[in-house]
Amino acid sequence: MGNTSSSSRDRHDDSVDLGALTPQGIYTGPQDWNQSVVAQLIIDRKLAPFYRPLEDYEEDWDDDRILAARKGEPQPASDGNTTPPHHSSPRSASKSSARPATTRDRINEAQLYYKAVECPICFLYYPRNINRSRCCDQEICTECFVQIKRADPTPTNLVSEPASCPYCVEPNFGIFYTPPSWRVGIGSDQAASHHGPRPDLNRLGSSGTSTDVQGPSGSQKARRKSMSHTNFAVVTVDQIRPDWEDKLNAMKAVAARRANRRIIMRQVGDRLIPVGITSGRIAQPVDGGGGSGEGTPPEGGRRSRRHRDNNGAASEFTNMYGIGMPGQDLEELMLMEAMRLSLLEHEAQQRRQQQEQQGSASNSNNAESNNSRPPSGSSSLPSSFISSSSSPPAPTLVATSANGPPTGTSPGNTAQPRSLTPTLPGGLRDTLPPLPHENGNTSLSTPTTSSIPLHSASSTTESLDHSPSLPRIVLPEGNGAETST
Amino acid sequence: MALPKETQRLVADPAPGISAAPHDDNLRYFDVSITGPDGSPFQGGVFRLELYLPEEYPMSPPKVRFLTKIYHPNIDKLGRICLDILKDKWSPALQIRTVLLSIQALLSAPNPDDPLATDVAKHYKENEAAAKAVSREWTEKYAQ
Amino acid sequence: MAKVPRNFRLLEELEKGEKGIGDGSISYGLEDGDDIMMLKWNGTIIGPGHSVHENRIYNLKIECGHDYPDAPPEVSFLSRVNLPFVNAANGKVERHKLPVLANWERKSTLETVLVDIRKEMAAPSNRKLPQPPEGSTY
Repeated sequence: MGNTSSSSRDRHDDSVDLGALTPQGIYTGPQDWNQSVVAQLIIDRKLAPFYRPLEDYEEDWDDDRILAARKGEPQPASDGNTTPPHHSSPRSASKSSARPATTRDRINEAQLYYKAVECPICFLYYPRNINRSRCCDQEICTECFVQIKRADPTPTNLVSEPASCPYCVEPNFGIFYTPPSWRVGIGSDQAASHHGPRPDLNRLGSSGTSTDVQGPSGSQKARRKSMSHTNFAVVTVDQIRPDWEDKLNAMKAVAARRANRRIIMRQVGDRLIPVGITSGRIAQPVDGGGGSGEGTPPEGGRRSRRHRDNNGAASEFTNMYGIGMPGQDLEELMLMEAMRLSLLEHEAQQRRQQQEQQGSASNSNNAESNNSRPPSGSSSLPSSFISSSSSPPAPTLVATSANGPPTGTSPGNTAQPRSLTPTLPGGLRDTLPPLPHENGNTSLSTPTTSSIPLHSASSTTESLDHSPSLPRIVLPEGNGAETST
Repeated sequence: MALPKETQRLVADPAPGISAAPHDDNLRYFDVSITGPDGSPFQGGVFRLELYLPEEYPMSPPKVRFLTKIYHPNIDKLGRICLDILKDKWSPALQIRTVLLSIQALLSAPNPDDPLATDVAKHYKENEAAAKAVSREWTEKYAQ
Repeated sequence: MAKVPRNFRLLEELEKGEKGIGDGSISYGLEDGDDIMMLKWNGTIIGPGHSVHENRIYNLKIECGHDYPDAPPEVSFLSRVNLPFVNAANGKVERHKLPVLANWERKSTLETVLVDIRKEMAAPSNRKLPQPPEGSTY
């Protein structure tokens, strides 16, 4: 009893021991495990194949009744909870089988389910030899097993606990599978000579495991001892989702970015208005879509659009800053980012206004070169910031020290390119790039000679200036206008 | 998923003091009632709840809340329940039935140290007798 | 696909709203924390920048009927506002004039409604409309 491979040894199909390599549609959610790992484990017979379950089972059922009780094959877009078994007769069961079926096959398949066991999670019945928990020796079908995973980390919960056994809550859930003594489907050629790709369980010597669990008269297994999750024969949930650690690290990165996030306030008169959020992602430019936080990698198309929108200097600046100045003080970087985002805030409006006032800013496309000039003086700023080249577009960065009140908040002042006086103590002496229509031959004046004194007390204020061509950012130190989220 | 099967068993073999029936138009959505356990301030009350099995069930816990107002430190004004097995202690081997039995047990054994309704929990901690009296009052008022 | 029932859907939305949405330019919550059927909600929109609405705070009232989210919520401005899709007499958002309500989908949420209203406020055709005095209400 039990060796039925002679009837099907010649078949080369996508099944292993009369079960499938892919799920049978019990669960409808995303298949987020590594399916190639799972398929290989099934082929290696370390994991039970995805058997078609029986909706119900009684010991006295005959073969036809058993086959009739098999759950329908997976259906695309099934809602999963109302699918009736659509095999009302053994005949239709053979019809929907993936294999060319014969009467003998059906009988073999029915035999598979003799003394079927119920999976305690999905309440469906499976061949007796399905997986068992490594810890407490409880059945679990492969369909349910692949669903079990570590809880995804969240920004507020930055740990990834190993999944626990659903039955006894032992950590590091894993299963142990005892394949049948016969072998059909993939790998059955090797099986014929009794040398499968992995050691046969006959020779594995795991305690008390009966190797012929298939036969209807097979002897009852003795209860197996708990096996370690590091045991070679055990399959753990982490094995089929090898990316769990990447996910954790990715989430840690997200959380770190959020922790660094600041709300950028703009001072309007004596009011502070939130205008954006820094992303906290320092080394990479943020999506230009409106200063809302999450970053995206740099992208040529977007950058060129920025240039057209006169914000090229800002984005280049951040980019260069991150790459070129890895050791900079975090707060400085934050502030840079804040400035840049404030500039980006203007972008959409500028675009609109440019469309409305066609041509007024049409000559600002050649900003690509604005970071080409090496920094002059002993500046700790990246060269792009001191954008001195031909025609950096309009955004104007104005920084003052605590002693210097914000200046230039009146739109009326914007007609001239200006530079802040370098006499401000410790201040960032930066320059105004030329207006677009000045076509970029304005030499940029003042190289900075000191590092930017932008620390946690720094603030970012932006002038209330809706001029499409010349938004400005004023960075008075010590106004406390930047608040931590 | 084996929902119809679990539902059939639940309906055919209900736990004492608990009933659950799926909506006709949504088999994942259940009308539930739980009777207040004897010896608790909720004795004599019949509490209506709603239960929904999300797409990921049983890999994710069911969602449950009280529809009947209840004065209990682990149940908030909107009927949301603070119960570990409905959150991080969920296991796919648990069932609707286990969940409802656990909620029933929670009525017998409030846990003011892990509160959801902090004002009620404070009341329970400071003056349990008075708090229980309010629970009884609410049971009579809302859960009959 | 599993269909989340109204109450659990609204609980999800409530929890999201309680955590705070995005940069805070919109927010919403239950009008009455005891409202077990979660019928009445408050919404807030901070006027989008570079528009006449900039720096203004708009309060709204939202009603999620029993057939929400199969049917859209009823939305009214409490703060006076001049917008083409808002009834000038009572502040009611006229459903057929606001795309998110007119083309309501079950997956739309209170958040998407408020975000879309805010987007409309910033639209070129609306962002310069003369507005009633700040702080006035219907």
